[in-house]
Amino acid sequence: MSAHSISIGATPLLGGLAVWLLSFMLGLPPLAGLAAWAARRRSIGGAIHAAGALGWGAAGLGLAWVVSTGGGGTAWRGLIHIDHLSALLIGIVAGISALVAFYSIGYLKIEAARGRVTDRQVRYYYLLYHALVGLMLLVAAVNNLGLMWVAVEATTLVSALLVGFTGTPHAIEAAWKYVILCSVGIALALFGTVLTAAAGGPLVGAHGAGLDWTSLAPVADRLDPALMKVAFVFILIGYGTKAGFAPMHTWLPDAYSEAPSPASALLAGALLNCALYAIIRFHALTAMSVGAAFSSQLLIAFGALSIAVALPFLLAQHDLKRLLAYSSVENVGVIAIGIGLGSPLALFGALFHLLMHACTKTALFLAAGRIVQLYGTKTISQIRGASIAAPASGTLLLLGALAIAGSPPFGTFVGEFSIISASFLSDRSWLGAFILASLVCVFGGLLYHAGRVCLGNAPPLPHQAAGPFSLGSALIPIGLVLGLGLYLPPFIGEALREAVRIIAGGGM
Amino acid sequence: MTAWFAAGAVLSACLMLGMRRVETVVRLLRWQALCLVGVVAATWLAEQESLLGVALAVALVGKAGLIPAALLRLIRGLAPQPDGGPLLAPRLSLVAGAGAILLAAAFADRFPGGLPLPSARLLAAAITLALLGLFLVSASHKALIQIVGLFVIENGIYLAGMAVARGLPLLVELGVVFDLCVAVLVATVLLRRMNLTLQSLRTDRLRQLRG
Repeated sequence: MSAHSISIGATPLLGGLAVWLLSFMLGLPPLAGLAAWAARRRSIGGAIHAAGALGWGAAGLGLAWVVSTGGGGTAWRGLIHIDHLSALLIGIVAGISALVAFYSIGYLKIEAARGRVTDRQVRYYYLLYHALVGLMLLVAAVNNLGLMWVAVEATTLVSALLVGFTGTPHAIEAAWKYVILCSVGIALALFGTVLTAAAGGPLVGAHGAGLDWTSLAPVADRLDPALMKVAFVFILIGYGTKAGFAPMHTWLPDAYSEAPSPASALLAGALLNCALYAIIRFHALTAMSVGAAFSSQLLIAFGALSIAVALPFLLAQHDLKRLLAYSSVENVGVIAIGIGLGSPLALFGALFHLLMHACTKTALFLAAGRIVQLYGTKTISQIRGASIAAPASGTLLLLGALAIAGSPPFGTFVGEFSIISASFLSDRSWLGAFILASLVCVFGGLLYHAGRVCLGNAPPLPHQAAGPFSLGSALIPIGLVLGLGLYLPPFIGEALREAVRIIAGGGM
Repeated sequence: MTAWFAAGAVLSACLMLGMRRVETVVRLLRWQALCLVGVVAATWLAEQESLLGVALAVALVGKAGLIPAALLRLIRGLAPQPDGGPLLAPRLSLVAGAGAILLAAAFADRFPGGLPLPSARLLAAAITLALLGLFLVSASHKALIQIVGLFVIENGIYLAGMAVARGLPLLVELGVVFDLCVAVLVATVLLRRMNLTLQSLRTDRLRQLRG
């Protein structure tokens, strides 16, 4: 039973259970990170890391459930605001990050056994990991759009250290490009935020509330349209850099490829969605102020460009992790087009695809991570017979490739099909045809590369893969993608529809 | 009053374009931050709003104090970089500087809804700073100059916040300054590593990753 309503000036408070879950969700990451870092031994650090991940993971998923079924609200004197859109992001971030956290333990154990990381570095990884997760959850939970910016920029800085974690020249290059490009981009987003504050100030009055979502959303139709247009352009370019829109995406393949595989999974599965979330919030405000056409057209343009740019790099790719990175750029383009199209079907497709892509890409990076660790290389031409040498990982990679290419019965098919249908229904057949054609190419390309990796005879391998724990972390998301493609539980469908209403009409 | 401080900030950014040593550029960054503090102080004195006083203190400690100090410490800790002449191409810098000022003035004039003259001047200064910072990031091959450029962009946006929105909410200002301090930390970690593995802080050596 929904406890919230579209009302002006009266956002309900979050219920008691939700506030408890929220406090655990936001309070545990810094504690767990610091405790894991300060632990005397790697094994104790690992135990604290796992316990922490279990704690904030359960709290986050629980909070997402409570809000999705019971309605959202504010907490902590209006500092926090959670609605169905935030709940979607919280669910994704908490779930994915917890799974990848468990995977990390086995992965790093192997790296430590090979002498590639020291115990101290492993504990440093745990610190960065929990810091990053805490910040991502903050992005989703915070009410004030300025504080959201602060959290997004902070995630860039912390994740840059994860990207450069291995310390090799390539990793440092990737980390530096990432930090500079994304920080410049996000600085532009700050300018957009400043302009939004300028637009909101005269309407909202109180100095602090000028950037609160709960204050801006009810009055969004009275925000200065010219100002909001300029603001949105900066927001889109700024947060779009972080989300991986072309042509600002150049940092992404380097960062995803050079980061340790669990960190790549976190970047692709969780952090990417935080940037998309920020764009969606501002798109909702701008659409209410200016009318949907302006921001929609920009989103569609960037989306189409991202798909077009990613395609050739995806097809002619030599590096397994860069392949997955360009696939992320392509999928972000599809999601952007879905948001841009704006019809309920398109928005539903976009949000559902956001969820499905997060799960699939995570599973892919984790499977690829196991394979790369086993073979000691990321180069596709040097990896053969993974389905024999590492049957589980190889099969997961093939399944993941099928899923990310959008084939039924995976959930990714549902999302992409909805977006394509919506474009045909809205008299933009060229767009639908373009996406369809691109997906066919992606399908061919991904399966070709996955086939090269998985099929054939395996060469003698010097290394050992990690244990069953790591496998579960990759199996669960891909299972979810398959499961939700076959059957969508009503509560998820309803929660997504509520989130669609927030984007389309500013309900709180 | 604020106009003088804003002009000082713009002057410091223009001077950065012509410097030969990274250390001098960082000292100019400190000057720039102090000019921004001056803008906030003048506004505070004029409007007597207590929150601005807190913002002033935060900007003073963070932007003018901690950040330049940390950067200077980083520079001193690195291997001395040879003096390779002006840090940025002189003619290009001239064009960039002039272009930034002209563009900024044009945009500030066209601000949607119009602005009172003092705010418009501040906004023009802010956009100039942001554009010059962008130029520093994109035109320089030295990683240290790129990070300084980033801070110049942030200074510009801070000034823009003062110009059009009377500053952002205090909590957000605190958060932004905190973020910038973390940025210096991260840059320190990465640059020290870069110096160790590549024996150079030139980003034109970072061209290994392609395709």
